[in-house]
Order: sequence, then structure tokens, then C-alpha cells
Amino acid sequence: MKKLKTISLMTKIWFVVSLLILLLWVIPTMVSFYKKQKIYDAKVEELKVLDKRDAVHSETKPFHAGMFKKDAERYFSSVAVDSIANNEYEVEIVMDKSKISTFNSFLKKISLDYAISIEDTLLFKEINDSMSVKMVLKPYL
Amino acid sequence: MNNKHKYVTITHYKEREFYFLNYAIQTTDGFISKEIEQFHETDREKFIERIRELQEEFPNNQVISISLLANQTIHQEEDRNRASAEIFPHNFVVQDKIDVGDIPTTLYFSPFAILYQQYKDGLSDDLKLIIGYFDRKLFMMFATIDKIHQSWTIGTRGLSEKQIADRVYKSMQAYYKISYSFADHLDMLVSDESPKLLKVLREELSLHIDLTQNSIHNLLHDMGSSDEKAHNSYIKTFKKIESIKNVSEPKLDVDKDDFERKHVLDDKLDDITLLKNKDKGFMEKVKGMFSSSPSTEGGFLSRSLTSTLPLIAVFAMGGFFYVQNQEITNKLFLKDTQILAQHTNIELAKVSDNVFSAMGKNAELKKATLSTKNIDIKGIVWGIEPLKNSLNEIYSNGKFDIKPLENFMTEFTFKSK
Repeated sequence: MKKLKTISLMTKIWFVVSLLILLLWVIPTMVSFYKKQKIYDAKVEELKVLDKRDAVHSETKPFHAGMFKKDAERYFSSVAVDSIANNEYEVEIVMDKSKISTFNSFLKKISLDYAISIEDTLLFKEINDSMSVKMVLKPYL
Repeated sequence: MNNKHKYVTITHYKEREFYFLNYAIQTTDGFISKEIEQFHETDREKFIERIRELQEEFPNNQVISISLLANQTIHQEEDRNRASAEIFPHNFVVQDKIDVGDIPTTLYFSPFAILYQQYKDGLSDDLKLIIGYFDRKLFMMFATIDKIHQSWTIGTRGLSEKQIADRVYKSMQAYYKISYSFADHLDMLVSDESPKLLKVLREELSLHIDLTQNSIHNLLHDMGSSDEKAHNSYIKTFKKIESIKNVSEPKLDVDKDDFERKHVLDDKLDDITLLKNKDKGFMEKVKGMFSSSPSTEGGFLSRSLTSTLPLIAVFAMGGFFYVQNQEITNKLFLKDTQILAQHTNIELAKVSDNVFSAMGKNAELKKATLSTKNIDIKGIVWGIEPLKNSLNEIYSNGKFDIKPLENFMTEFTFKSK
């Protein structure tokens, strides 16, 4: 108590303010961070389970129309990527009818390779003995 | 050379009931010490008379002695009310008074001053424990290159070597408690041969110990060899040495292991003596900054700024976690989005796979709208019933229609509900 009395009033005030900030802001933020970190770690594990890629598991890249087109053209006859409203892209893939399973595999990995989500609708159309698939991609990064 | 021009250091000290006297001719190459004379305390007058004789014989002299009192302590400031000697830029050794009585003495040294002179060149930033073993007392000091942090005096009379080692260790522990530093190197200067003590110290402390043995007379002759060292004397007014030390004689080997006698002492030695006036360490300075007392470290502005340190620390910590929290929130959002997208994609791929599998060789797709919720497909069918059954297996209650075409083909449509 004697030692406490020797501390200046200003120092005491700063200590109280510091303590309040610590209790009301720092600690809740810290707790929130650690909770989110834990959830994030669980999400990473969840995604690993969903990742069925055979090749080297590359990091998710931000979407780039040119890169995506080039990448898709390795599997399909023709790929067209057009920018549409709301920062979305309409993609038309034309393939041989026998490549439907390849398309399904491609579908399973594009959101792992690129930071994109696909609108929940696929439009299939037969064109000159080939199959055309239209879908809308939305980059989220 | 005429004795009048010789610079002579006359050294004396008392142990138990005996006075020991010696003198040495100082030369630029070192000192040449003569035989040690011993006087019983009952022959005090003879002892003093002998000193005066030597002083007359060698007018250029310093009469040097050592204080072997246990209550000598090292302080950060000079104590003008007591005998004090500067042994370091900011370290003063202090004792109550200069207790030489009527025995002629012009320089009077503390064992701490001698220790400092002996070991100052070996000091570094690492904490070093320096021990002097004089008169069966351990004069200990913890020192680094910039200052002496702490001093202790341990009486050892009647103690075994192991008990002495224990006390040295305890003083190291005690120092650790106040400074959180532990000396990992030990230098020891002994005036008596004590191989057993050294052996036990090495065993008990598990420390590297550098040992130097030298007689008190030789150490005192050395202290009187220059102004720089003499400056460490408790007696501040003494003849300047540099001006009179101009005698050059052939270099002689000085016997530095001159232990002629057993020291038998009757001093009542105290236990460990911790300095009352402790070194103002880092913590003291910090306390001073937070204190409202005007006498403490730092001015008003300094204290004002320092008192906001906890707030700054809290903000720094809060800011760090705030940024981290924002980052993890963003990463979590992206991961959530990716997982959702991946689930959708897997589902879509599954729907597509199911639809094409269901059609098999019974139909050919012309147009389809597939989603995870429903499907709407149209194509040419060859096996109506198998196709209908297959599609109904995937989407029960779906609407399956057929329509004959002009080219004798049949068109089918299927809509899930």
C-alpha cells in the first residue's frame, strides 16, 4: 500500500485506462482471433477431404480469364470466357460427347485451382455432334 | 643509486596478534621486495619505529596498508561521512573509518580496490564473480566491464572448505534473486595457498575458476607503484608517485608466491554480509520512472511518458490481435466460400454424371439445364422405359414426356420436381 501511494495519479489513471482497454477490447479480440484460428484450421482440414485432385495440390490462384481459358483448353476442344455483369464470367466449353466425364472431373477441381464459385446451373446443348456447356463463374478474390 | 632517490613502498598489515612489515624498491621494471619482518603486537612501538627508520632511509616512500575489516561495502556514490575510495568510475568502496591508529600509513587499500586493479582488464559484459581470499575472509564482487554490481564479504573462520563453497554458492544464489543474473566465470585471488578450497569450490560450483596467488605485501607494493592505482586508496592525500618514480634498476624476478607464514586469526567472522546500499539496477530505475517522488529517476516529462507505457503496450497488443483477427476473418470467409463452391461443384458434377449415366445408350442429350436442385433435359430416346426408370431412380416423381418426331425418332423431356 505504501508503494502504491508513491505512484503518481496520472500513472494510476493510465493504468486503469489500460486495464479497461485490455479487458474490453484486447482480450475479446484475442479470444475471437484464437477461436477463428481454430475454425480456420478445421476448414482447411475439411477442404483437404474435399480435394480429390490427383496432381500436385497447387495453391488456389486468383481467377484470371486468360489463364483459366488456357488451362481449360488443355482438356476441351474450345473454351470461351466472356466477362458479363457483376464481375462474373460466362464460360462456354465445347467438347466431344465422350469427354463428359473429363468435364465432370474438371468441374470438381476448378474451385480448388481458382478462387471462383460456379453458379448452380449448367446449360448443356448439342452442337454439331459435340456438347456445349455454359456456366457462369464468379471470382471471390 | 642514492637511497634518497629511490622510490620505496613500505607495506604493513596486521593479522591476529602479529604485524607484518615489508618494503620494496620500485623501479620502472617492477619492484624488488625485501625480507618480511614480523612483530608481535606487544612490540608495536618497535614496529612503528622500524617503519620510521625505513621512511628516513628512503625519503621517497609510500607506507601502504590494507584494510581487512569485514564491513567494507561497494556503493554507487561517495560517502563523505565515511572512509571511501573510488575504485571504478561509479563505484566507491566504503567503510566506517580509516583504522590505522598511530601507525604511519600514506596509502590504505580495500581488498576490493586490489581485486579491481588485478582483474579490471579481464572484465567484459559477462557477469564475473571475483573473489579475494584475504585474512580468511572472502571478499566477493560481481562485476562487468562497466561497473561492480554487488559486493559481499564472507567470513570463513571455523568453516570447512565445503561450507565455504556452500556460502559462495548461496551468495551467488542471493545475487541471482536480486539481479536475475548468474556469474558463469569466477576469478579468485588468494593470499594463502589453499588448494583444497579451490578444489572444493570447483566441485561445488561447477564453474571455471581462474586462480591467482600472491602475498598481501606484493599486492600492496603493486598498488603503490603508480598514481593510477594509488588513486584507489582510502587516504586521498598522498604524494604523487609518477614524479618520484624514476629509478631504474636491473629487472629482477619478483617472488610472487611469497607465503611465509600460516595465518591464524581470531577475528569473529560474520556470516554473509549483504550490502545495504544496493546497486540501483534496472528495476529500480523503472520504479523511479513510475514514482511520483521528485527524488526518483527521471523528470516529470519522462515520468509522464513512461507512465503511458502500459497503455502503449496494451494498444500495441490490441492492435496486433485486431489485425490478426481481421486477417483470419478474411481467410475464414475465403475458405468458407471455397468450401461452399467446392461442395456445389461436386454436387453439379454428380448430377451431370448421374444424368448421363441414366441416359446411357438409351438416349442422346440435345439440351439440358442441370442444377443441384432440379434438372430439365431434352433429347432423343431409343429405350423409353429403361430411360424413364433410370431417371425416376434419380429424381422420383419427375415429369417424363415423350413426343414422336417426323423422322421416326422419339423426343423425350424430363423435369424433376
